[in-house]
Amino acid sequence: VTRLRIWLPWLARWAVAATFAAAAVPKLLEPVAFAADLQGFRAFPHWSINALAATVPILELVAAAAYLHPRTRRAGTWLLGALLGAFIILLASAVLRGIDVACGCFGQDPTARAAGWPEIFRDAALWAAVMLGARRGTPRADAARLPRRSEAC
Amino acid sequence: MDRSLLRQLAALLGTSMALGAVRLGVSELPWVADPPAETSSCGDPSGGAPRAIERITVARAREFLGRPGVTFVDARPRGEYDLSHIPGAFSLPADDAADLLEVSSVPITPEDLVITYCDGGACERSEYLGMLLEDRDTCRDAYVLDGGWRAWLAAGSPTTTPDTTAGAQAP
Repeated sequence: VTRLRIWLPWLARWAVAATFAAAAVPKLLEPVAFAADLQGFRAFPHWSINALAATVPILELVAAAAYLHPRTRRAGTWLLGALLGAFIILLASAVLRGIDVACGCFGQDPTARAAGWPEIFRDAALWAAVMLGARRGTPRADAARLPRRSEAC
Repeated sequence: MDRSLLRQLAALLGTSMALGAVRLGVSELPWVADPPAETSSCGDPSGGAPRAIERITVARAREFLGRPGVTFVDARPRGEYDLSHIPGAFSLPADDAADLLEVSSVPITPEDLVITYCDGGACERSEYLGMLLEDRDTCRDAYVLDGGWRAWLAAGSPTTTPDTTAGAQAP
């Protein structure tokens, strides 16, 4: 159980960072498609869509990198938490307004169904993983604090 | 929230915004569509604000394929339509659509649901065509296929050419 408490946040951090990187890269490569996805939500003023399409993927990458580094982890946690909160609100508003729009969360997926509650729950789970990964400690650092096997026995 | 955290947050946000601005300048992103107030003069029947053309996902559009009362309209140039198109779609190139709608009888009834599509990307042409169709004589439901023709192909959806379809019509 102790080892799990050490490794779980570490695993959560890398899983969250990898997820955000996987989400950011397609958007960086296809900014116009991402801008069209954003427009589909009909939640942003027209003048802001291109700026958001250019900035959000970079913010995702920067926040993920900050989240991995111990010195900037708290700031990374705040940013990732805020991003996920915004995504959840955006998706929920689309669902409640009955808008048939693809999530666009991981770039343009032609086979994607309209965004719905599964995407909202996925983002909520990711938010929980962000909070889990924000717990202090790395396997290497915390392993030193573990009782040695000979001591424990 | 302490000062060092605020400093870090400001630095991270500032870096992201600066890189975003550079990205915006380098890539010269085309605007995805006109502002909503200008996209359609077709008003909400309830008297609300003018509405933009809604988008529909490929997966959802496929469910409508072949259904009566649903018409796919190809906004691409005629040459591209001739090569291949969505089964049953008819060609109405966005560049000539305003004139074609004036002089021809497009086989769409006011009750029809219309799904327009273009080549892909931001799909301004299909948005424009959707606006024209909505504004033509009545506010029928028009949708823009999200991702357009490229997304339709990428999803492995059915296609046809004028030689192999009886349903394809042209104005």
